[in-house]
Amino acid sequence: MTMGQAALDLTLLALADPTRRRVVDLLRERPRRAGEIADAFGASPPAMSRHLKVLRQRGLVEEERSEDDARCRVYRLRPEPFRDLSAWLEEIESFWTDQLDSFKTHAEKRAGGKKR
Amino acid sequence: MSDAIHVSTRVDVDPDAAFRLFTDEVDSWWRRGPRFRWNLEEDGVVRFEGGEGGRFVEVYDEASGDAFEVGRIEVWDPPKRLVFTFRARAFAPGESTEVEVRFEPAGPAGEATDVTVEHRGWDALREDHPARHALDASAFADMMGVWWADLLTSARQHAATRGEKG
Repeated sequence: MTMGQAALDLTLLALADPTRRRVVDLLRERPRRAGEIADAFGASPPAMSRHLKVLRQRGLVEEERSEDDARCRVYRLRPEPFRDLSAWLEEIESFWTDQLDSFKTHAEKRAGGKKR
Repeated sequence: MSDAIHVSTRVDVDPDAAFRLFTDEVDSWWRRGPRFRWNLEEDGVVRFEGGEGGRFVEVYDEASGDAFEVGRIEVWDPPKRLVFTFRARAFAPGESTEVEVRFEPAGPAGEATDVTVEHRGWDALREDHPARHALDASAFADMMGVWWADLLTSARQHAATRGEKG
């Protein structure tokens, strides 16, 4: 079992804040404009802008200019950090899934052999 | 504790047999190779030594006593429950997590067993562990407590919806 790298640290750290986790949940649905995100939380634009900055710096979201309106910025999730996190969790889970599969096979073979 | 990973399976033997086979014959079913064992070059013999307080070890050489201590047995309660500490190869000395295995009767006559592994204690890893970095203990525990379950599904769903498995 091996775990983590610098990228994973940053992902976990950025997600330690409940507001930022909710922003991520919101962006999982689709990319959104900064104003939309602030509205969804009833947060002030400066407060939301700080959260978005952290998410951006930690590489969880990226921003781009809206195609419709160049003054408007749209935020979307970047998949990479989520894959790192997902991979870490899945590694531990699949470690035990494989172990229990192997145990089941062994136990049932032994029991069958003895006609229990 | 909520910072835990849960995995279970149903085994077609009763709890007495399940507990005994899980512990006495651990080396027969514990998977081999560096992903599952603790030495990169060669597999040793994995075993639980005795009951509570005993070692969970992979032994490479009986004569010299060369072994990797994976952890210690904390609860030995056949045929219901086994708890032991668990170290991965990359863990620093003194750093550990905890594994609890529960054996619950299943099937109409209790002739089968639901075996559940709970792997927990990730928040006890050292301050500079990659998994926790600059978070202090309470922030980390809080984060895991609030979000661990969601994290499992949400991170996975996200990776899946992007069509690229993690």
